Amino acid sequence: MLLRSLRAALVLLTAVIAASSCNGGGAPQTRTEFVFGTPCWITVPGRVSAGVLDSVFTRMQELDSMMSLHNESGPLLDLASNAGVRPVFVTPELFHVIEHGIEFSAATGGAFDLTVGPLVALWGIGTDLARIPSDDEIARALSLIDYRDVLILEEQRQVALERAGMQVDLGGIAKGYGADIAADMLRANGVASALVSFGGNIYALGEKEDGTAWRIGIQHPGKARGDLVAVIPVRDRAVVTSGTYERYFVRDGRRYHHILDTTTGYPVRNGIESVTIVAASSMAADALSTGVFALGLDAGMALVDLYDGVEAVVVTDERLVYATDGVGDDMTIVDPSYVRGDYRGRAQDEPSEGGR
Amino acid sequence: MSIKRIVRPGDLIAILLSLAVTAGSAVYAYAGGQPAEVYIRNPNHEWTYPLSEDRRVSVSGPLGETTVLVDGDTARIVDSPCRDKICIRMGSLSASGDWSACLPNGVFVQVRGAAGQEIDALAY
Repeated sequence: MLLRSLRAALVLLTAVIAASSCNGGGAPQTRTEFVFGTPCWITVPGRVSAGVLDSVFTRMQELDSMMSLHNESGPLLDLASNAGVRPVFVTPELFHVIEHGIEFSAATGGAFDLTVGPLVALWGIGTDLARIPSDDEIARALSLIDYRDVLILEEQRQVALERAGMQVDLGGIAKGYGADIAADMLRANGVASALVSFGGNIYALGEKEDGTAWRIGIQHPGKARGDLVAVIPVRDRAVVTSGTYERYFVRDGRRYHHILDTTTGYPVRNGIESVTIVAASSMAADALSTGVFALGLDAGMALVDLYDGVEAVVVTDERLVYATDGVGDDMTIVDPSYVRGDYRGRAQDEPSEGGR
Repeated sequence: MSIKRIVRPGDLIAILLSLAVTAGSAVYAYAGGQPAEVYIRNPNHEWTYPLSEDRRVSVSGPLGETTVLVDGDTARIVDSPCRDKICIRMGSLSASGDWSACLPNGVFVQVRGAAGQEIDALAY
């Protein structure tokens, strides 16, 4: 009897040791969920508990509900339906995000504008309804875009849109805000090294476990997803890219991409193919990647140079790669047909805006 | 009492097998990175295949069959019943984290654990 138990115990013990070792502390773990309208993944060291990732993704789903225009009972649609009528109460968190949205709109002179909603809805880029709107439709949508007409009632924690038809669209900062929150939660849980990608919106937390920097690739604007134009080493920074290749439709051989010019109402056409911003805040990187793109090379880089700790990489349709000093020194261009440009050395009267 | 009485041949095989599996996993887990895998998911199931083995995987979703081709250490969606074929245009996946998805058909494909690749993540 004793012998049989001993034998059973020995076999069982070995099997248990083997089974538990298979989930060994060494291998990193990746969790992917669909949120913010895109697959989002987070990679953490193997020893981090699954519960940490559970709580991060739960929080991300909450943020998605808060900021999504697809949420029929969500606060942004409530705000839009009361535009020109009355202010609405919002949660402290949404209030905070909207305030930041207004700040970035002001900083970029409206090139990034959180009230771009009616124009985005009109073009429908990325949906089945994508089309080229008429001049009248575009004019009407443009008349509804002005971040200065978002009224903030600080004490009451209410927001109002001044004119009927206005709509706040947080699509340009939602993933960035989410990534900042995710990074904060990971840090609060003692995670010192992690990689977050929310649909290509990257947060590289800390450095890799071997002490080297995270290697972040910048998508090649002209080739398939996964092909690179450049690689930058990054430690504890957000990396966000806006590019003409992400969402677009083609009509009569012309590409209409999703980064809309808030003054003309058409996709921005200034020779820029992509802007990558590196910053400590993913929300700032998200907003600035759109804003700098729309501002164009000269005004865009001038804005980036005003911010301490914000760096940019701009790729143009002339196969030039411009980079600010903080990232340029370590950047490797991996497509030999692209060369470094010097945005400070450009002649003052050189055109930086292309025709439409 | 001899050892032969406590541990019978069948048990010995079970023990040695468990130890071998442990040793094997340890090599994978600690020898500088997991081998690259393709992770595929549809609304009901998920599968993982080694990236190094060529295969053609047919994944069913509400619209029909999405085909994933694993070939030359890359994976890509080559066919799908959706209208816009965005999933096919997303091209080939080779670096850890690379993904493609047929959202209308509920299929998601991602490369994982490809250590030693040129980059750790792609900003796009």
